[in-house]
Amino acid sequence: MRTFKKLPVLNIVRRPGRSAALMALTALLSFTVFGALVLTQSLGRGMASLERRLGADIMVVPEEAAGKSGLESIVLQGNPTYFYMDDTKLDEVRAVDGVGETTTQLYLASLAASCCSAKVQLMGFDPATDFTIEPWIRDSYSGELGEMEIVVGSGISSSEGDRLLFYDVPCTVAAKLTETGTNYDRCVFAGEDTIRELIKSSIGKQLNQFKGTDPQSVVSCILLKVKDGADIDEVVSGINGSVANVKAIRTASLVSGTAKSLSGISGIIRMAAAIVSVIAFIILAIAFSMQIHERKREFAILRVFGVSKGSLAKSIFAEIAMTCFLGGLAGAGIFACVMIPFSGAVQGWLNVPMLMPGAAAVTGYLGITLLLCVAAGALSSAWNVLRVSRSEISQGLREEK
Amino acid sequence: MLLRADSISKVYERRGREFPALNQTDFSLEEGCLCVVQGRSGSGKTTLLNILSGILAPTSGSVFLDQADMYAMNDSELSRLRGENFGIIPQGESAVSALTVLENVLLPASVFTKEDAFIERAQDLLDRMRIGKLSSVLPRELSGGEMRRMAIARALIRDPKVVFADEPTSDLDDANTREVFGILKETARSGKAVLVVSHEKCVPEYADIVYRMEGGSLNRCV
Repeated sequence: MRTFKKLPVLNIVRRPGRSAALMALTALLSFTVFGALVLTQSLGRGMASLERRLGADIMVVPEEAAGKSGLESIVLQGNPTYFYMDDTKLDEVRAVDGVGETTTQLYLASLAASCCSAKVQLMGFDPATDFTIEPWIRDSYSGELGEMEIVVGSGISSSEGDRLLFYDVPCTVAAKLTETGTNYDRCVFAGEDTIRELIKSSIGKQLNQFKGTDPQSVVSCILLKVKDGADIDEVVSGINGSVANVKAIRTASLVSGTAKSLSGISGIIRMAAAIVSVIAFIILAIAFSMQIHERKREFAILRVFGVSKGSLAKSIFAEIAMTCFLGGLAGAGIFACVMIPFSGAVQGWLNVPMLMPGAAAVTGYLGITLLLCVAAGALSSAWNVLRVSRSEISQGLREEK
Repeated sequence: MLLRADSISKVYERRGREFPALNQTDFSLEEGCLCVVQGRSGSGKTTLLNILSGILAPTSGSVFLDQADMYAMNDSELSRLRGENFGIIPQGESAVSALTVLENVLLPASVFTKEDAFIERAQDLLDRMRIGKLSSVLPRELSGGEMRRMAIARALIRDPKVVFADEPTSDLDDANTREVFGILKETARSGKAVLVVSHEKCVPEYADIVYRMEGGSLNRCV
């Protein structure tokens, strides 16, 4: 390649100190923009994933469970806990006007003890009626779950064919689910019959707080969809008024708390990103101004050799664009290195569902970030580049080295 | 006549005040001639060289290379004319710091054409300047004399019609000064027109024509 054409590259490679300082500033901008894009998208996807997981209009739980603090995280995110009500409540709920499709779920929390492989939430569902868990499980497992067969969330360190122990009952892992970004990733799913066996074993070992419970005649939760045209709030009132010892909750109200905190966190992230970006842009403009001023003589020398004003401006812009591109790549890379291994910790710290975007989306965000970095470099330096390229050559030659 | 200036004037303006540097000056330069312009600091020597070499527009008057009116051209045309016809040795250090010595010499050739055809010539020029072995080092490793010889090699890379040198020996010792003037004399003998702005006392030994610049006007001494 011609020396003049490759001058922007050589300026970066052979003046690493000068280039590194500018790249560091662009990396800060890129880290912020890319980070904000990925984090806000992760939060949005986590929320969407949570809503999809739920799939019901109304949830009916035992009255005492509804009074527990953090019901939202227990029911929606699968934090380990359990509670029971008589399964006859299902028929009573079905009898209420406006109730459409219904299904039940049965919960059990395992222990961090020798009887169990891990402390997780065990969720049983009825394959015959389920419309909340099974459609999602079908993405990863197309077979029928047999007796003592389980499906594990992506966060549980076991794979297909492994055997896990719950209350000394061995269960076979039939499939592992894709990541959801919620605590469901640390849950175990099985048919209700399997969970009933596990409950029976836990009661037998005196490890279940509901000691007098008959596992065959209880459910933890009833999930239902209202009939077309029915008002959800009216159905909620109907259930609460006619079925004793249960609490019907509109699922949207559970999600709304999470949605509100997600919206708040996203807003803070966006605002922080905007402030850091503006500061980085101003510092970049100052840094480019200083660098261009310092190199006035070098640019005048190029003009002496026949480089036109336009070619000089293009050459300087090319160098700035490459510097910003590389800085942007570094910033995004640093964010990825921080975020990928610690996404679970970040999720736990924020206490909200997070689901990292897929590779294609991340590549798209990277593209947007790099484009923004290059544009920021070009815009922040434009005035100085045009001024130096149009200034008199003799004036530039008078500049001190 | 290769290079001709007709009645050129240059007036600088600083803080609303006018400072005349060149006053209705005529000048001409022929092939094979080493012409030196001497004078005190601020007498307008560099202004004259800059105007003649196409890097500073005069306030009035015209400069012609062959028959082409340089300052009637647009920036692209003038830049091309400068790159293809002139070899310029600016005052002081003029190396591009990110380029090796060889790349610095090839730089003027690479602006308009592929430089491949010039690589051999560049190495020959560096050998002639006795810095051939330094072709792959960066300019910061060169001494003042070596740097100046590199600048001369760079000015000659495109086999220019006219070579301009602004104080080419200002920071060199006597031995290096004589060596640089010897090279410039040799360049003039090879058929180039050479214009040097210098305050060196040894100039008459090498120059074909010597001018003295005083108060913005040229007076021929030799």
